Amino acid sequence: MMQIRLNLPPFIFDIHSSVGFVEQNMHHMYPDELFINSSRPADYFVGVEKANGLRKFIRPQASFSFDAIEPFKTLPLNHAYASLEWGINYVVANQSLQYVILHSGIVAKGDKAVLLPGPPGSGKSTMTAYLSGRQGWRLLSDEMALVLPETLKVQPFVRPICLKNKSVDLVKRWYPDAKLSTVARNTHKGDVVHLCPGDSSWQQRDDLAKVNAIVFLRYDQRVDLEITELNQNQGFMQLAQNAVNLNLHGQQGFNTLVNLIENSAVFEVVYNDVEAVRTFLEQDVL
Amino acid sequence: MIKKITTWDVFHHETLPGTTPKVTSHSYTITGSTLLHKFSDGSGVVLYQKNTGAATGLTLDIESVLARENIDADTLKLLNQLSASGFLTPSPAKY
Amino acid sequence: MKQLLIESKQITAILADPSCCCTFNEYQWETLIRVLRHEGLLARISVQLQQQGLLDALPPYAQKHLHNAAVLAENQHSSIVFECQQIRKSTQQHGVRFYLLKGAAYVFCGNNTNCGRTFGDIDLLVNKSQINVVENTLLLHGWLADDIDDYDNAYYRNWAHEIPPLKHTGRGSVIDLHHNLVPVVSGRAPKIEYFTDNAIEYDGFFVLAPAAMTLHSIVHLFINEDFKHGLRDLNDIHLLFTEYASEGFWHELDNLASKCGFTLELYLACRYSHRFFQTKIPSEFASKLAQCHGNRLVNLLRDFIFSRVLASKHPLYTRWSNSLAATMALVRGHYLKMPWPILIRHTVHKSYRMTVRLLLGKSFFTKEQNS
Repeated sequence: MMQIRLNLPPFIFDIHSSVGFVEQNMHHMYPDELFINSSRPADYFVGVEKANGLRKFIRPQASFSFDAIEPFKTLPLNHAYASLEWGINYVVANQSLQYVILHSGIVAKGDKAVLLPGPPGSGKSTMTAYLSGRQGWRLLSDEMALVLPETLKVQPFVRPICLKNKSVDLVKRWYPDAKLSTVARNTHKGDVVHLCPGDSSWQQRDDLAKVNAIVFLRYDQRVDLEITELNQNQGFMQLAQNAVNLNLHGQQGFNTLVNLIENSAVFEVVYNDVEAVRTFLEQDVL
Repeated sequence: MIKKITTWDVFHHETLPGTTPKVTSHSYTITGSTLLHKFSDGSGVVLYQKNTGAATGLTLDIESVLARENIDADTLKLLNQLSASGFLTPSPAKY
Repeated sequence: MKQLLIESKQITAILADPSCCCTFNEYQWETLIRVLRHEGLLARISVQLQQQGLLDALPPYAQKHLHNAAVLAENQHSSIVFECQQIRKSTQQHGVRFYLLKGAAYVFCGNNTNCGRTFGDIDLLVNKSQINVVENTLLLHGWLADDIDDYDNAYYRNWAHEIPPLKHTGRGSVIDLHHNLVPVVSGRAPKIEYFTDNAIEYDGFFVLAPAAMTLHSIVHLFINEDFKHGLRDLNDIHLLFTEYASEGFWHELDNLASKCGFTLELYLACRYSHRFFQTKIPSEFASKLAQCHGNRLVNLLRDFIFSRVLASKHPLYTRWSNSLAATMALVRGHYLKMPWPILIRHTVHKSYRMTVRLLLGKSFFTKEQNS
């Protein structure tokens, strides 16, 4: 039985699970210094456990819980670790109103951040994984940008990156020493593996960054690199599609998005070559 | 897996079903719960409905359109849609 | 067993007087926030502390969570107002008189129960003769009945006091449309005019007068088998009793309960509201009710059940006796609602479903959803 307290700045999670491979993955994915004792209060209590019901003998299931609530349907036991990671995202998205949350990858070079929003299949996580491993770059999050209301500042929320299907092989090729979790097969996102971000990302987990650019990504095998500068109106509409808790922030949330759009370069980038995107960002954007 | 959730996806950018109200006058004003921003690069305005979370970008200058006496059929159609989505409300007839 | 930082008794003491958590350290807050969030009462305490000017002195950890809960509740309130406006707009050509019940009513009339009240559904009451036209009109405007099985549908249509919940396809708001306050099948549905007379209009909606509003909250809590929100609902009743307390109010409450046959429920509400929150109830009023309903032996049993099912049900407080009390409350609630032959049919059907769930897992009846 695992019962741990994990310091995931800016939050502290209390996490329990009696599923063996969940515990192994947690220790594999998160650096030792994040495991803390209960001397600091936890913000949220979550867990993933084997589900009850006689079906467990036929097809074992796992269920994520947020304190005493089970917000999702049960999933195959094999998805337990992935569903814990997604569950943590869900809790933050629904509960943490101190941030305007954008569903987006976010990486930074020093304190200059680039927002990488994109729908599933756009290659957002793959691009995030690639960039955050390059010299001078770091990961803030592959899933959610925590923006301080009415500023351009983003609070990092460093966590393992969720890779799907073929992107796992790409990452292995780019980063042969990468630490990967076990595979969750046939999830709603396909086969899923989590990737431990590099040391520099973990080390700078408390350092805020400032958004400089917003890049809407679209992977297209036939296109090396095609860059379109968006006007503010187009950029706003696309960014608003990715706002998770905008309605909870009212005027302040709206101002935050407007502020981001008015003060960032906004591009749509169609690509098949991650390195070309990096060169573009380093030479023309930051 | 997000589908069962309430606050996560419920109030987001859904355009309301297009139930066009019967409008006898073409006179509209922006509702109290709608926020407006005019972009500095001249690309238009955005309307944001706080209650539904709906956002819509417009390339025309909505404020001057609303102030106009006469508008064409296409613009009226747009205004009707914006009204159905809660951005505009029919204003009392002017005499 | 690990010692609890906050006992269940302390939770009710805090609800009676929020200022007593001002001396709490962060570990006590950790437990308190968990439990109050689970009970849907975190926002209420947050707003009450803020009104008393006590929020700013609390540890930052507590402030952060209390603030977030208040924002969520505030947001629910403005969407309730918005949704109600949409409902009125959609149905205006039919001249329907809508009565708001429970959460939505508290929001519109702005009483103390409104403070940090969280809720899921919008409860509306209309005249029974208008229920079809309202349902059909709402359907045209995007509020559809959730998929329920034929048994549940028939149950609603024949025996309930409301129609199946209507959910907006775009925005997800849920309307519970009532024509009475108590299931018809119980044989205890009151003449609805007793409740709706003297209703007060707010922004085109009607809210029951204080005594009727309070008695409805009571009836809703005590003629029921599900006490999931028991603590919050009892706290609502405490706030209603406290805010409206006046000679006229108690008289009106007594009068209405006697006319409609709800004096037992009123007795239980006074007993447990006082026991949990030390609600001030005039002694003459309380003793009159006790004379009719205060059998000592029966009260032993009632106390066993209600002191448990109305208290916090957070797993930190799970005891075997709580599940026994919950089962007893379930049986009692069904028995109050249904005559025996219907109850047996209902139980047989529900236990078939429970067996299937046990065997196949609880998602068996949930349709697969694409994500």
